[in-house]
Amino acid sequence: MIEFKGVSKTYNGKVKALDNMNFTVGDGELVGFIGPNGSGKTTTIKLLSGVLVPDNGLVKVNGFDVNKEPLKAKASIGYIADNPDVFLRLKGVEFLNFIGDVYKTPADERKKTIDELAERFEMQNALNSQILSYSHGMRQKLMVIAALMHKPKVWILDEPMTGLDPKSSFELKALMREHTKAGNSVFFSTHVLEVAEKLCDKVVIIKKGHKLYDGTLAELEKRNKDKNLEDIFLELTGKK
Amino acid sequence: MNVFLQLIKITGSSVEPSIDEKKRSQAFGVIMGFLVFTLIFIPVSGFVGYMVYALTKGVVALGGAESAAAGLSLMLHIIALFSVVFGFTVVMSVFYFSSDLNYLLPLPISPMKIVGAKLASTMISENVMECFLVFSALLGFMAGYGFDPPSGGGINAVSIIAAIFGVLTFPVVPICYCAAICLVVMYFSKFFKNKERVSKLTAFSSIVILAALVFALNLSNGFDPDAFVSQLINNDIGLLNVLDKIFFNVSLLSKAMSGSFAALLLYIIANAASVGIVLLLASKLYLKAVISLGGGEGSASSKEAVDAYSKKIKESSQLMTYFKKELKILIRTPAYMSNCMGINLIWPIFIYVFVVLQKQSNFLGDSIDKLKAGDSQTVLFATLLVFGVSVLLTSLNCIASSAVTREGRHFEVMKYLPVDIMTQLNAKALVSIVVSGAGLIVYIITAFAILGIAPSFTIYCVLLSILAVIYSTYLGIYIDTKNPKLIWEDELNALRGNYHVFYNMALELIVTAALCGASYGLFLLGFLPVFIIQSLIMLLAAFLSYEFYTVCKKKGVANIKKIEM
Repeated sequence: MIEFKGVSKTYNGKVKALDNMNFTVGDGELVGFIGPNGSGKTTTIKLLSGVLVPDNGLVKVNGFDVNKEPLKAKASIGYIADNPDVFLRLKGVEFLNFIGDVYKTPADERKKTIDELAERFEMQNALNSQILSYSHGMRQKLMVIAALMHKPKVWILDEPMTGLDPKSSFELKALMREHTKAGNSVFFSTHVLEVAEKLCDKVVIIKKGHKLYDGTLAELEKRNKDKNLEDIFLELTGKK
Repeated sequence: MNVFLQLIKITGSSVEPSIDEKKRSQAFGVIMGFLVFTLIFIPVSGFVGYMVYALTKGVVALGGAESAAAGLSLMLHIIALFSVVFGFTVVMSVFYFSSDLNYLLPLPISPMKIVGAKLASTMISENVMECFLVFSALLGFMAGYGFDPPSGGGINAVSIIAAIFGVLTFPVVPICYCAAICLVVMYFSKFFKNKERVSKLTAFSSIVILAALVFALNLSNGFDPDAFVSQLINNDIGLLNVLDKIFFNVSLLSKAMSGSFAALLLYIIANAASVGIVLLLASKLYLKAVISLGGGEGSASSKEAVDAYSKKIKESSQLMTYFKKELKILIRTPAYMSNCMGINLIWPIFIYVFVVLQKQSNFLGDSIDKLKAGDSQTVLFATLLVFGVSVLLTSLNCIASSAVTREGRHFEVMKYLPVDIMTQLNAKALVSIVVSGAGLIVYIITAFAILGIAPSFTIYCVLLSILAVIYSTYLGIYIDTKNPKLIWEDELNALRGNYHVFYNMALELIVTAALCGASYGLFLLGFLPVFIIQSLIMLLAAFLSYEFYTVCKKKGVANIKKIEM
């Protein structure tokens, strides 16, 4: 469960990145977060993951206020940042072990998850090499495994499909569906409208820090008959 | 703006602080900059200037005006040699392994322009300290040689123009050597296309060259100033004769400083020609070498791979896992390995130089005898020396003062991990304490055992050293939390880009000087026995350690929380 209520964020006291933003992601929901470049998607995700502090408003994950109980909130999130180039000098398995320790995942549990996900993402042979030698896609897959290792109830993913090959992208989408079917929540940003269209129960569309739409895609298409999602998105964001 | 100038700006941007970094702590930067300038740059430059002054006086008195520049030449050769030693890693990193290449290489810019810009930004970044040293050396020469010495000659207008050119352009030839060798080696050899290998090799070479210099200057047989000056006048130092041929710019500048206009012209032409040769080499060799860089991964079978990684899955506490992560990154990143870890290994060479230099006066032997006999003043000096060396060694290896800076662009990981910020800072501190402390403990115990110092004093010094390391570590970390440099293109820039190591050293020098002054003052007053003063020093070290730990916990953590990227 994610609650994002009346949140505003300004950078350097000048640039307003988010203005009174509200949305919720319920249990069992898979929500896509869409918006043009610079619309505030990454800022929102960084606020959810505790990387940034809001000027005002409430950010709650799994019932924990991210700013008042940051460690509990963060421990309940599986977070994938927009840049997978992290700790490149560690070997893949060392990174996963580090994340396992940080999230206090028991060794047998983390081994089980690593075995399962490494096989699904075809990463077994790479885990003994330094992350430095990985391609962008492999680094992204490693981040996915790391984020899911502690079985978090809420997944927050910033552009998770970027750089993934079709099979890995398919696997990740399947994992996201499985996760929400089990009653958990997934919130992810994307530029790819087709992904949102096929995958999401709900979408939140933003532009320049303001929410433009929050609801199901079916409802959105019903309101805009005879238009495809791309046209609707372009009209909403003022590009058409 | 001209493409070339824009490129210099871009390639040099990782050395400059970002706008956010400038904003974060302007006043702090100014104050610390002033302290660094007055406590580090001026004393070091003063020492260099005085050495050249004394040598020039000596050679002019013994060998006349013709040999006047011998002392200057020696110092400039040493500066040039160190420029090459340290320049190699910088040039290699900036030319071949910096991340801006990912953006620059696809652009329609000639390799000559890219290398030209990178060469210029390397020289600018390398020039700050070197500029001070060369300036001091030249000033020392002018003061020693004088305008109208009794032996004839003396400095003139040409010398002053040469001095200005010398200060501004001295790194050109050494850095061009590094650049030319890197360009050729990277084009022809596959061996050097691995960043780790190159950095390990240059770190090892640095130690070898340092040791070679000590032996080549005949320091191994003790230091006799008169004999040394006479060797200088007679060109009797083998290494210097070799260096004279390699660094031809040094002899040209030295001659120009003695008033030769022809030498000044040749010096300028030689500098321009060096740059021209590097650019020519770049146009032919750079592109092919730089685009063929890249890593590969192993190809073990799935079963073997699973077995291999499964063995490594073990549980640790948050603090220990963070500590291990930090240590692995320090050891595996060549720039960190040489600058943060390797630097702890060169101390025995300096100690050796010190032992050799004092051989004639036997200052050390006398002091050790007094220390063994329990002479109060010597015991106090030894105590203060242990404290001073411990804090300076800890600050010099910059593990603490780059603790947050090293996070770089993935600084936000510190924020989103469910680990308390202070636990993360403690893990970083632990790395510095273990690396610096272990080295110091080994040095103290070994040296004291060889010298036959009493075990009780050895234990006291080990404890004092550990407290000094802890205090210096938390001070360094706190300084880095004030304004970490998080935007850098390669790891070497992370260490050199901010001056936190100098800030840390400057503050350590103030505290050590104050401690020495206060302790010696108490000793001179004579109403406190030395063991009470030693106990007070130990208490002060414990207080400083606790105090800076608390400062990190309160203000350091708040600083980290404030930073937004």
